[in-house]
Amino acid sequence: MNYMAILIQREFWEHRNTFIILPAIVAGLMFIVMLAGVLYAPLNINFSSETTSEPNGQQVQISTERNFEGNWAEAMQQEFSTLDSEQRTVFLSTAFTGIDVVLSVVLWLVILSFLLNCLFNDRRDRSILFWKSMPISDATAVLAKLATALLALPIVYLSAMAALQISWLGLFTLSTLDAEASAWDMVWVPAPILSHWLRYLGLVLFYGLWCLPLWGWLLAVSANAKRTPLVSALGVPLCLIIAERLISDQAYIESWIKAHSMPMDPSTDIAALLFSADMLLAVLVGTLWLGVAIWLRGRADEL
Amino acid sequence: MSNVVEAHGISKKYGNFNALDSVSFAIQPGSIVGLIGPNGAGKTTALKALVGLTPFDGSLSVLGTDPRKDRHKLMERACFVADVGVLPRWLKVSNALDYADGVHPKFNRQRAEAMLAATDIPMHKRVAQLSKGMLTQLHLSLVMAIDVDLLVLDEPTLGLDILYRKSFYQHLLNDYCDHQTSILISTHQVEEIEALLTHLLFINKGAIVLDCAMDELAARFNEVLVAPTDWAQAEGLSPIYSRDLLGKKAMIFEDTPAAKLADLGEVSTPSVADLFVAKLQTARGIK
Repeated sequence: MNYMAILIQREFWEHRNTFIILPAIVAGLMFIVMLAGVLYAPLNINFSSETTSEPNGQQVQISTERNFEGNWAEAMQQEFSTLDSEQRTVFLSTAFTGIDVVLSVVLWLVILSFLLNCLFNDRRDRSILFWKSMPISDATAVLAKLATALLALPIVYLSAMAALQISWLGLFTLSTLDAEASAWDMVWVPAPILSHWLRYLGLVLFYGLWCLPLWGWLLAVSANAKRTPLVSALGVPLCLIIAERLISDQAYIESWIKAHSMPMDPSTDIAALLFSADMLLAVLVGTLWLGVAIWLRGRADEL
Repeated sequence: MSNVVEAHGISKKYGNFNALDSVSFAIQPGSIVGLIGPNGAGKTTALKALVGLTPFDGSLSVLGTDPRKDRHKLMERACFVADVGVLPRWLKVSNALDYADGVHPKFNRQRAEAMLAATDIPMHKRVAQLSKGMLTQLHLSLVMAIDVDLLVLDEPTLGLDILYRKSFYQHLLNDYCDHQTSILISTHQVEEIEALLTHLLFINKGAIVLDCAMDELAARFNEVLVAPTDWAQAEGLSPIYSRDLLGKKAMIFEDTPAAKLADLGEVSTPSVADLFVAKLQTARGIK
């Protein structure tokens, strides 16, 4: 019998505020800002920049000057009239990523908080006795929490991002209805809508594996902490880092923990990391911590 | 048919405190066992160990499984209700039904809904909004809608009024006594379940002080109301307990034939409550 769906649904019942309401509010606020930008915030920007590069040892200076008038949609229309389709795709992709950033930061924090507290809260409110009185194995229970954090939750947040991106293109379309160039050709055709979302899902899966040591560690701490899981979650890695600094002048552990605990520079080639030894190590360490979390959940009693 | 529960040398420590001290007992199929003991005797720990909710030392087989290794398999055939509300506060009543329906192959949703319909519990309310009585009713409705071989109830009617307690035990009798379901029930309110039980387990300070079938009770224990003139003779037969009653002494004897006691007064079988007090005082070295 497949219990995963109902176990994930149970997490959404419990965490409705941070799983559903919070992304809806953040997306709603961002939409209001976009709308206000069209209605009330005409731009009058004089933009100039100078870039100096030295190809072949010869100094070349590139000057850029722009003068935008009107709101952001009109300014975008002006800018797009100078770009070819490929450049428009690059521009829109960057803009989509910009829209993703705020919700992604919120998503990252919600995932961290959820994994750190989920098994702890079950013990603190004694509901662990109810959950464990149902025929669900500890492995299934822990993996359902992981799947909630790394699959279900990103899909909900991605839906909010997608709605926002479509709304943004919609606002642009509405505010340029009287323009000569059609909004369809200008933004909808070059917009990398599906590919952007698929890439985002790819990133979600990548970070699910790349940061598995972090996710597993948080679940293990959550299953074991007597009080304030955050203290153990941060304390142990900090002690390791300090001990490494005291014992040697190297920082292998520190850099490894940092690399697998936070999002990377967007320019990083994650495809190259996907089949690296570092990824293999991350999956092994993460699986080990998940095993510890499952074992601890099996021994868990009320607090 | 093999025993539903086989416990040998079950021990559990909390720091230096022995919650269970090498406890051994067995439960036969279809029996209704009352686990009776004072506060802190180890009742809850024993019941939690039985369904794999707490780690312990010793050998334990419940429905042929080791609860430490196969809790989830065991919980397909066993149900547990903890002594106080353990349903999470954020859970809606309707969600609780959805959840049990989704994870338990033997959950009968119609049965649970019928039981809830007989209460004042609204389906859209959250656990946090229910009274203590409603909370217990909800949990019992969920559990009693599951067709299981072993029902483990830890103080199931604690904090409920007499009306609901009566109705609960009536329900328990009607629903389970015809089946081969075994029930292990811990309670303080011995009198209310006395008529229901087929076996008694008294526990004190983590140790079993009495393990007896109800139908053996009359053969093993006798109570006599002894007049002052016979006190010395009665003391000579080593009663396990004696209490003053209307100028006489009510004495309880263990393994002393009724024929030997007939001269002292009218012989009767002690109530479970009196026997409980007697065994506990014996365990504490007080008569």
